[in-house]
Amino acid sequence: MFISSSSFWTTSRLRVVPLWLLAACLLSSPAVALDRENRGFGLDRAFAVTGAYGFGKRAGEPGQSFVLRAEGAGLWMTTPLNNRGGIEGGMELGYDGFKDTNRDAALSGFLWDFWMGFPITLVEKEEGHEMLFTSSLAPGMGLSGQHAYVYIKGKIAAKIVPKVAMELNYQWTPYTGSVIWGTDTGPHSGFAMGFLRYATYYALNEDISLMVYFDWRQSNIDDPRTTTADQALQQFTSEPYSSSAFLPITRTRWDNNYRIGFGVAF
Amino acid sequence: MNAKGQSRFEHRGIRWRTLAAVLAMVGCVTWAPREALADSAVSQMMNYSVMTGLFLEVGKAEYSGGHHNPGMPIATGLRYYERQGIITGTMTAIAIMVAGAAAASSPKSQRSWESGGYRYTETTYRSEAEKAAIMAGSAAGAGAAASSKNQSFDLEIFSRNLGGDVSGWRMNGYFGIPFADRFMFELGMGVGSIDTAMKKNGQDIYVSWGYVGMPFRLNYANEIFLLFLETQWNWIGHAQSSKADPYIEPTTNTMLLRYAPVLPWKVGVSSNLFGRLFGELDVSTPGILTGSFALKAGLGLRF
Repeated sequence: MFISSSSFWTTSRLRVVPLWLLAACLLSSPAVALDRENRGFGLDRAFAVTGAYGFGKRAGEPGQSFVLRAEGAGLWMTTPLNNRGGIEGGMELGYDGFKDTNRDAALSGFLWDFWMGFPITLVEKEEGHEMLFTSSLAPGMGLSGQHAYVYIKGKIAAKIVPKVAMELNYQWTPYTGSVIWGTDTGPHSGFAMGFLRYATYYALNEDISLMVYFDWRQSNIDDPRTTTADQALQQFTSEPYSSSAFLPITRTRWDNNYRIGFGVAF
Repeated sequence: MNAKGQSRFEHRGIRWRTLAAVLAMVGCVTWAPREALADSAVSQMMNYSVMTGLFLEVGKAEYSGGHHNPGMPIATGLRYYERQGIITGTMTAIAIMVAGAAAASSPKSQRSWESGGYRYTETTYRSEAEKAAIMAGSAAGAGAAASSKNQSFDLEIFSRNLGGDVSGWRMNGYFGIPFADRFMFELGMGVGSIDTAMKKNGQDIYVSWGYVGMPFRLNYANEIFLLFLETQWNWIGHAQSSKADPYIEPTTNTMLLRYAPVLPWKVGVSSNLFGRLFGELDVSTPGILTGSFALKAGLGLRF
């Protein structure tokens, strides 16, 4: 009855329903477990599965990547001041077409990234069980092919017109919060990273949205001040020491990476 | 050195700003109307809450060389402080599950012998029932850790970009034992890595600090103030000489120091104002007998 009474469900659309159902069954089980008021992804979603194409530079070398990304957030705890808190997390798997010039990627050629964070909502606006605006802050940590890292992420999301929501995320990893694989015995070696993402959601119905996003990652490997100082400390009494630890930070090797992604949010 | 021959880390008059921030905080808490503060400390200690904001610490703190540092380092940064939350429990649960899985899949016993010029090894693995028992035990432990009500998490990120001399991070996770209505004793695990680069009387000073250890904190909530006494037992300190010897690099006159005091102490007070505003003041020393102190002020929001 539902199908026949709706003009949206044409024959060609019905054909892909089994695929959507399969995807939903496989990937939305965490979302199903969350009540509406406990969702913490995007504006009013719990979970998303997206595919993305990436391009840009790593250590100055151009490359591209194809990524499957699954992520979600559940906020089931409420503070006495009415802010919601919980867990966010996700993973990325894919093809990494960047040159591993410095030989510091783990499993290079295979892109992977797992992360987990703990968001707390800052300001939210709701009208009759419909979320209109949300903002949150989350500290978190992750492991990827490139490094082990901690991050702080800020998010705002808002409904702009009926059915359409927008979201802006900024994730920051400070230089000291990143450790490149294989450098545990040497001086600290990591990279600062900033990651800005703009996403738009189009609600097909109450439970499923289409999601399109664009992200821009900027990372920087050189921090001559701390690396040289650490090296000097390691050598301590035996080698001449350069006082470049006290120079202003000169960041010269910025790598810019961009991604375009598309998928479904539940 | 820049073009004018000044170091980036030379004193830039930040002490007045420090003093102003401290006075503002003391003033806010002292003269605020009582009803704006009603029982906020108990609420902060016993309920799920997240405090985040900026902090400023001036003095001979444990991470910047303590009494070995001839200067007066300034630390600035960002703090994320959760009480009665989930971060510590979740991280502990993951650690327990990983350890449990490793234990369950490890061999139960191994013996080897030589015979006729060959070496033989016999490995006995755990039965499925034994593996299941280990995993059930670790799942129960992980569940208990994750759902523990009395836990808190404290993350500080130090940044020179905010004007200080100090860069790095420190993180502590605590599990708490409440007692006598308004007290809570907390203990847990912490890690950190911080470096300080500054200048004093024309000499460059560089201090490196590492922290792996156990924090112990005693909290007392009166109606307005949450008072605490804390020590962070630093195991890295045991691996170093307790009398850190600063090394002066002769050609550049740079003082290099690696120093991690074993038992730094801290006493402080925090308060919530009008529900949302969060302030904290504390005094710390790298060691009771060192005679060195650092004063820290933090101001932020409570969620």
